[in-house]
Amino acid sequence: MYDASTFVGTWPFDAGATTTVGQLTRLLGQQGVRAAAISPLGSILAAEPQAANRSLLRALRRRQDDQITLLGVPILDPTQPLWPEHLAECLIYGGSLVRAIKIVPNYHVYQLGESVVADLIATLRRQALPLVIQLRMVDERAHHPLMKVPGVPVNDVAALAATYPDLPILACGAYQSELASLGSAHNLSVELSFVESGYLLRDALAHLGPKRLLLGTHTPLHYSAVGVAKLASDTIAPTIRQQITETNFVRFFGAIS
Amino acid sequence: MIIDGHIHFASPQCQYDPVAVAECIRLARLAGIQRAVYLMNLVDAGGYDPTPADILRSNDLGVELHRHHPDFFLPFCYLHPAHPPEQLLAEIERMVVKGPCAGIKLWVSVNATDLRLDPIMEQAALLGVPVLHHAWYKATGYVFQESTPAEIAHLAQRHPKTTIIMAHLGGGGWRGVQDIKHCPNVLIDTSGAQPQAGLVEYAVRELGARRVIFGSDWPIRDFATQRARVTGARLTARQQDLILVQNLARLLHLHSEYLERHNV
Repeated sequence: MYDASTFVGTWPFDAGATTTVGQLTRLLGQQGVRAAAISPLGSILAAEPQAANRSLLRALRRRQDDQITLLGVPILDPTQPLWPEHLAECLIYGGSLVRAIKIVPNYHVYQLGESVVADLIATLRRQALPLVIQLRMVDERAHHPLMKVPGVPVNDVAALAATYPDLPILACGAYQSELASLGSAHNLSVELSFVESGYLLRDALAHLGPKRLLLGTHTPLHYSAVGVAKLASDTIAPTIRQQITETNFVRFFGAIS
Repeated sequence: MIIDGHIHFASPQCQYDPVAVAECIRLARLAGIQRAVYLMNLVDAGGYDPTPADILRSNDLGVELHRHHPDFFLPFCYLHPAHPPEQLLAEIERMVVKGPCAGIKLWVSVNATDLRLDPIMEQAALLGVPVLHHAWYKATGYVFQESTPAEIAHLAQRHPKTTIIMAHLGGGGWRGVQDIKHCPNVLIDTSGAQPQAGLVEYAVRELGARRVIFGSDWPIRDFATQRARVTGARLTARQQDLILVQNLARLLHLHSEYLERHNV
């Protein structure tokens, strides 16, 4: 089982403590997760995202245990002048640990239609790197009253995917109600950490099909067990389960050693 | 055995649909849930400000659910506290005293601080049945007369002899737990919003496991996924058993049934 959306670091609105790579590994391992894509929480609200990216990649390189394969997904802010240098540093320092780049347009305050995004995507395509878009970090109803951050508009995500049909894009943090809008672009996948209804697998499969859904837990902000339990919410064919839990992850992030 | 303390239906015109009901029970049992508290129908039941006819229609669905599946559905009596007191008491008589309801459900039609809740709360205390009341803290704004956990605490202090189940731990969050900590007549259900890690443990630490009950909020949420909020939390097996089974069994007088099923 592979997890497409996890984090390390500190989320200032969360009552929990800082989560290290080792602690994340234990949380995921308890649920049977054998590979995970990790992004640094510190890159979202810090004035400069690269320090947290650097810290994550350093921790991943120093790992001694190999029970779980961990892939780094650095977070870039394409409105910052030095983002090309940040990306280059991540790729040089992270090497094969870096399989995708994540952006958080709502927290970094830009629209997906802006030219900075086009510039970033041009670079990602040259590097053959897929793009991960974090739509939200927290249910909007639970935001701090002084920091209400709307989710990234899903129609913008779908439009971006349609503009770059050869660019694999993964949307993280989508609600069930947003799946219909995300279903139109064949190069757009969705992880399941925020997707939920009484018929979540049936509805998610109806909108995106089995090749575009990925297991995601949003650990450590969400209970890891909850993300994993979504695959047990209904009876599905073993082949579809395999696609959601592993095959689609490998297609997006690359092979797991 | 797991008892789900918070489910709905979304049945057009509040009609009993055997196919939809069978699917609900199938999904619940897939998640290990054997009993479920039906609170109200989500569509065609009058929205935030239902008429007396809307209330009757939603409650009649509860009667039908219980009549067809008495071993699964535990209906609560849905009420709108702004309706005349004699109507409220008549509906309690029909649904709780003479009917199958094991409790009363209040949503957002009247705020919890409103004195028009008093006849309902007093009758619930007399009958020894719990009142489940919706509550949430929302940064996005409130709907109609929606209550916060602090307002539930106000209600609980006005009616210390009435047992209140405050819905939506996930909606009230950490502050919501603090609001009701010193109201021993208030329990909380685990439903609501995204599964924020650590929140169930916090509720157990501050309130004790005997004041936390499992609720899924199906079909807004998913049975198996919501159960994992409890089973995935760092709790003892004893604490999980209290939350998933025993607290509701005790509250709804199902305890002998629980003991019998477990050959205790």
